[in-house]
Amino acid sequence: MDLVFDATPDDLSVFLQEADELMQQLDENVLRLEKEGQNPEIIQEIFRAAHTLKGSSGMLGHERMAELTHSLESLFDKLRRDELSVSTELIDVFLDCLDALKILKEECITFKASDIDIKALIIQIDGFASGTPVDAGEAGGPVLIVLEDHEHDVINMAEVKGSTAFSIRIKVADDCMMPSVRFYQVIEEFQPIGEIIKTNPSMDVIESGECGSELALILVTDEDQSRLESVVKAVSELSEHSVGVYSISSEHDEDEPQEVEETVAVSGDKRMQDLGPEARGKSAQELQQMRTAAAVKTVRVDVERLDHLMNLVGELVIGKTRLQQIGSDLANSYHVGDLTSTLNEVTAHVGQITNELQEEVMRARMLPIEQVFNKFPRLVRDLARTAGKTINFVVEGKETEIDRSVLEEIGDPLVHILRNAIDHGVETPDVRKKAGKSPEGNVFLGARHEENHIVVEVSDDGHGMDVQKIKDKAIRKGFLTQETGDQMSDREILDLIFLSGFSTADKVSEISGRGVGMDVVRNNIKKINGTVEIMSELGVGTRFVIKLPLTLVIVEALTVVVGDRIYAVPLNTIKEVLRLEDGHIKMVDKKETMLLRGSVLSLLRLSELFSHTSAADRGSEDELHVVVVGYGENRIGLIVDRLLSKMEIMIKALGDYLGLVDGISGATVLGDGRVALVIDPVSLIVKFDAGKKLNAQPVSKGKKSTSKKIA
Amino acid sequence: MGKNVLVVDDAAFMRMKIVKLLTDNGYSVTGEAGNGEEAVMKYQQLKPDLVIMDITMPVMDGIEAITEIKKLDDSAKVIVCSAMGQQGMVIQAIKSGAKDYVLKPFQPDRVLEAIKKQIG
Repeated sequence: MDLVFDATPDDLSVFLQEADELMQQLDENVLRLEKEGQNPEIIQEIFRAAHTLKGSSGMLGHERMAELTHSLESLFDKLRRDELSVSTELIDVFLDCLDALKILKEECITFKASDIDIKALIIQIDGFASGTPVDAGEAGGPVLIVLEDHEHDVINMAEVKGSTAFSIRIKVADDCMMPSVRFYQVIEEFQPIGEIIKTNPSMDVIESGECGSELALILVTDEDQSRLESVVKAVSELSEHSVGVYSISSEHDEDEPQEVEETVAVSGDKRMQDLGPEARGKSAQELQQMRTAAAVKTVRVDVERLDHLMNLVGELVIGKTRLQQIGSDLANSYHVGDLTSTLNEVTAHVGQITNELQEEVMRARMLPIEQVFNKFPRLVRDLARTAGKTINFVVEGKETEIDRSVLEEIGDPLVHILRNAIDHGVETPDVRKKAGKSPEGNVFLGARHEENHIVVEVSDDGHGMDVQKIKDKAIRKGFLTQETGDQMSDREILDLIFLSGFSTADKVSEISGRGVGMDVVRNNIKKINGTVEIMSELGVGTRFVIKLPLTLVIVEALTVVVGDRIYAVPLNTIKEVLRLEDGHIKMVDKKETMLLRGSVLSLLRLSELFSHTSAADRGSEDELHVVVVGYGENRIGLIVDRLLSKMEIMIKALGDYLGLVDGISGATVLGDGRVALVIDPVSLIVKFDAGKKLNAQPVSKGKKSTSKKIA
Repeated sequence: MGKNVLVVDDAAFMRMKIVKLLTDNGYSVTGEAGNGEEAVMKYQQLKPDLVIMDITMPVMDGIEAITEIKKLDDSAKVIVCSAMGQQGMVIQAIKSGAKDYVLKPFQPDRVLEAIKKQIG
């Protein structure tokens, strides 16, 4: 079905932007709510967000969204007035609603109605709101089972004794006249073979005959799943049934749920006292006013406009560089006169303003990394639940600002690393206890500003990576020979996991471990001129350190001359620059290397790589320079003919017809109007390593010839 | 070999309908009873594979009859028939040991399905 909204495309985009923000807020707040329980401030915020969404979706004519948000609003209104308390079930339903809202929001982009059933959700919400949270069956929503602590204890005890708890759901056929009797039959069938912990609807309701079309029950039994299914199948007039293991461990292993319940049990007034003076002092209204005041000072700007502005500034930077060049050329060619000095003055002034302009535009494009980070608590929660692990997830440095374009690209790699950390890194509570660690795994995600880049770090205190295992696997898979493997450092071996087709997981799980992950992680990060390093210690944990540039468009670079060409090397990848002296170069394994403070540095002649005639070909080795570039612990020395200068460059993509060229990340226009290719040291190192060490699957496939042609 | 069924209902018309349905579908009706007491007696005599039992009957109702029959034979299979709006009674019957229920007025398919589930 096509949807028609009562809005112009512009209105719609404003709506979407706002909806995004509000949903993000809801996402954050729901998890806080789960953690902190009945915090009036959070509830107020959720209420407000739901209310705003309701208002705008109603205005837009998005009826389903308006309906759903209306229900949420009323639910949180009750919470706000302490007529209702927060429970795990309520949070679960709320999370379902948020997922539904996101789908509904997508409808505004696709203009197609999704098949999501919000009725069922609304019934559940209204169920909570009316204080009878479990009676959704009657009207068609899925019924829920809410277990009390003592019931959990019973299940725990039974599980210790080797029994299993099953969650069983049945639904009677639409034409069934007496669903309660069917339910009763099912229960009657189960009673001899196990212990029924709880049913929803309750036995009393079933016996009174007034119940809906669905029944959920928890059964503890020694029987297996197939036996239970056959029991259920023996009952007539059931349209659906499901029998699954009820997992108590993932949800109730730790103290957390009890904490939630304790918080819930506290009365409203007491809670206000607990909150401290700040929270009590500010009424909801005041908070609202503060927000409105802040909102008035901001204007929404389309991202495309900012991108365009940034590009213009980039062009301006080129113009400025050219002006400076002309100024110094003039000064060199003619004697310094009034005119040239005035020109230099003007150039300096324009230069300064350009710099400021660039900084401001860059700042305008910067967003706090929280936009990406905020999605993760939910992700981690869900993943941990699925994996049956308890994870304490700490996020730091959310406020660190980063360029929009970098922000867009960093999400996926982080998701991947986090998934790996939860799935493979952190052990299950049992294993952790045995290893003498706290049963709760710790996963840390942090961002910080460091010099000229942003460092994003993900670490866990899981079992770490087994270097020997990775090495063995690499050898088995034909990535390395035993001999080269033995020569490699631990860190170099860890780096192997970034190769495509490499996965150390013994078992492929739903979450991660298909072997298509880590190479994508590195490629994505490389795409935004970032680098990624792994540090891992067996039994202690794993740490990923990602370094990202502040901005993608304008970077500082060193220009160098190779043959008759100029290349730009991004400054953030340069470790040092050396002058090559006679006898420096030593041949090791037919490759050129040199000793740098006691360690061997591999050398790469750019002239050879890009097929230029170099100064070296004319016999003057000692005029050459070595630019040492690297990421992490990886270093390589690039031999160039001459160093030119440090300058700001605007990197432009090479264009589709050239595509990705190994060793080159783009091109830039220099002050004198010439075009220089921008060197991408990371891919050079990867490529060099591939040639040196790796037999199978070299990283570059037939790209060598391409790069020659371009150069 | 057709399975033996005992049909219990106080209305002769109902018994007739059920008997016809059963015989038409390859079951043999070994006996009929008009109330619970009769049903218990006949059960003891005939040892049917299945009993189709009305609930509301004179002298002894279906629920009591089921209880008695279960005392005689714990593996006895009983399907109760009931009119709409009697779910409390049906639940009682199931508590007493009935395996399934069908609603009056009969839907032949439903009745056959229920019988099939019990005795094939």
